[in-house]
Parts: sequence; C-alpha cells; structure tokens
Amino acid sequence: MKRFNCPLVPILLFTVMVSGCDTSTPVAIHFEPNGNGPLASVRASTILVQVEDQRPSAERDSVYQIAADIGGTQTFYTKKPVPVIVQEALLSELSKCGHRPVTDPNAPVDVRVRIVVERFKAFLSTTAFTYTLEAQIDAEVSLTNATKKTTIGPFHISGNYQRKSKSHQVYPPEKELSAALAEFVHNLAFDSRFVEGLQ
Amino acid sequence: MSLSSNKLALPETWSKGAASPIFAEIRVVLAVLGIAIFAGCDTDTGTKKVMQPGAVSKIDDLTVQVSVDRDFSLTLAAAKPRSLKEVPLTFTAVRLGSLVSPLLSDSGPPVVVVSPKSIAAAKEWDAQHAAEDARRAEAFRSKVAEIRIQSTAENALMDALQAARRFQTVTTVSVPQRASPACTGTLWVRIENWGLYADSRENAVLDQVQVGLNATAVLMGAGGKRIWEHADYFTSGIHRPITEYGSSPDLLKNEMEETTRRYCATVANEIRYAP
Repeated sequence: MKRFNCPLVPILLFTVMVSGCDTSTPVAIHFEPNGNGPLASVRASTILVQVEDQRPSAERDSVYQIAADIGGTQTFYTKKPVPVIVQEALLSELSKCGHRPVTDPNAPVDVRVRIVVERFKAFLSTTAFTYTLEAQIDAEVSLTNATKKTTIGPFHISGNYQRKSKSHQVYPPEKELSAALAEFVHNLAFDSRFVEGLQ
Repeated sequence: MSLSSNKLALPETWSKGAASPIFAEIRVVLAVLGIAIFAGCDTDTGTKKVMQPGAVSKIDDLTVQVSVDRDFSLTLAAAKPRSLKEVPLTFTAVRLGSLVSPLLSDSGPPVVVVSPKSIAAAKEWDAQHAAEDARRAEAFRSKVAEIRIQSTAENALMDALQAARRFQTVTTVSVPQRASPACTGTLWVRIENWGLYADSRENAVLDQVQVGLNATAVLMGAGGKRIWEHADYFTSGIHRPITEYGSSPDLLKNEMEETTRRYCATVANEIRYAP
C-alpha cells in the first residue's frame, strides 16, 4: 500500500490570511443612529457640526495596521473621507434625537460643535495564541453655545472596539471600525459635558 | 486504501509501525476541528444584551456592585512591532502566505500553516515583552497605590444614579446578591483590566501610552435575570510619553480616576435614559 503522509501534518494550529501583495482595499463604514439617551431629552436646537482631520499622516494612508511586519504594502482606505464619516454619523444621531443639524458655517445656529479627529484606525496585534484587533476613534470636542455665549471644552472622546480571537484572517475591518464609530457617537451623546453644551 | 472502501480491514502498514491513512485523515479532521474551536473562543466589546423598553422601570431599588479583577497593568512592549527575525510565526506566515495567496485570491482567504517551532518562538517573544512590561509597571507601584479604582467607580456610579432619581434607593454592596426581590435590581460593574496601554506600534515605538480600562457592566433584575450587558474598552484618548506619567506626581492618578468616572457616568446614563 502506498504510504500517505498528509502535507498538513506539521501541525495546523492557526489559520491566518496574509496577503503579501501590494493592494489598496476599500473599507465601508456603516453607522446606525440610536436616537435615544440624553440628546433626545434636551431642547431641540439648530447645531452646526464641523469636523477637522488631525490624524497622524501614517494613519491617513491606511486605516488598518498590522503589528508584525508581514511583508507587502497592502493599505486600507475608507470610501468616504474620515471627517465626512464622523460628521455624517453625528448629524444622523442628532437628527434622530430631534435636533436640526447643519453643516453650513454661515447658517444661523444655536450651538457650534467642533470635532478634531486625532485617530481613526484599526490595529491588529498578535501573541503566540491570541489575535487582538482594536479599532479606535479619538477626537477633541468643543462646543460653543451661541445663545448662552458659553464655550465648553475642548475635551477628549474615544470610541473603541476590541476583539480577541484564536485565529484570524486579514480582511477590511469594516465591522470593527463601524463598531468603534458607534461607540464614539454613543460616548459623545451620553457625555455630560456635551449634553451640558447643548442645553 | 480508504475508509469507505474497506472500513473493517486493518491496514497492512499498522503492524509495521508506518503512518496510517486513517491517522492522517484523523489528524486533518482534528486540525479543522481545532480551528473551529479556536474560532469559537472569540471575545469582543459591545452590547451583549440589549435593554428592553420598560425593563428598568420595574426596578425600585438598585444595588451597585463594583469588582476589580486585576492590579494596574502596562501594555507597551507587547505592542511593539515584531521583526521577521523575532517572530518566526510571522515569517512562516509571510512565506506561505505570499506563496498561496495569489492562487486563492479569487476563491477565498489563503490559509497559512504554522509550525510548532514558530509557536515556541512566538511564546518566548511574548514572555520577554510581558516581563519587560511588568518590570516597567513596577516603577509605577508607588503612584498606583494611591489610585482607588473600586471606590472611584462606586462613588461615580452612586452619584450619577442617585442624581438620576429613577430609583427609590441606590445602595452599594460588596458581595453579589444571589436572589433579589422582584422590585430590586443590581448593577454589576466588573473592571477586568486597567492601566496604561500603547495601542499601536507607532505609540509603542515612541513609548507613548494612554490610560484606559476594560470593563463589563451588567444590569440584573429580579432573580438575577440580565436586563442589559455591555463590554467596554474605555480610554482617555490622550496619548502621552510614558515618562510624563513617571515624572508628574499626580498625572496617572488624575487621568485614571477621571477616565473611570467618565466610564461610570456613561454606564449610569445608559440606565438613567433607558427607554
């Protein structure tokens, strides 16, 4: 009988997808507004939302980084510019909470919200038996209440997503960055300083 | 010879100590099962149990319990990039990945096989960097001793929940309540990890960290039934060189306690504004 040696015998412990080629992969970010919480309890206002991008240049090139230098130069980019993604997410949340969000800086408004995005990225790191994928959104937020002539902030708000797994495949981190964006908007909408600035 | 063609006959080579096709197949099956089991061990942050409308309204009296699993931790060296020389696991993956991926690019993700030798090397790398982090964390011991994570969290939750005026009473407990009356709820906040995190290889290389915590908040109703559960990785969002935390006497304490208060305020608001 012909002896059969399985080519997978050297112990198949991990399944890892590694792409060694030079490609750019789009990442689609999804956001579903919640529409409840403190934002829905405060008086409806006209709110200007402005978002600036102050991320490090390395993070602008790719929103996904892998801890080990695995070769290749695969980059991941968002289909829309990151400031637009953050702006649209907050606009939809404010709108669902009953406010009138605007983006025209010349429009008469009750409150101006300025968000400076400092981080918008996913990061994959490994140990011998665990893969950790983190998605993080950090921003500095300030509010100017035109009615009350007060300014609150700047203060930091973060939205994170973290997943630990025993096996991993490299894919566009859409679910992870979308989850971090949802946490970011949630943490902002539930932050007492933000709510105070709108009142 | 295959299992299907001759299930009952003993393979001729067994008695001679050679590899059996049955064993080969079993090994492949075990490997696949192992991957499936590993894949099932995932843990992530986010909402585990969605709060149903009206669930919080049934609670008159709320007890708050905070537990802290671990002492201060530092994750800095562990986040540093692994060079190919340091991590044979990665090296193996690259070689096989670059070999396989063009073939499978149209039909699915490429699979990479990693040898036990690679795993051992990766474990050694992990151990070395964990030891380095533990050594550096020791330098913060005197500063960490002044940080009262549990009481800070308890006080922040109590203040926010009492101010919410949603419950008749809000009290803290140190021991989990096994059975609770119908109108009593329990908020359990479990802080699984807290300390300084590097979060990215750029930060790790620059020795930059931020304060943060991993925690799970669970709201339980009558009989310990879970009403809401949310796992968080909550950070300050302010990245600083680690030396700043060493040189400024109260910086670590202030930021850690502030981040804990912010996290607790978010949890309390979740309950306060529950539908």
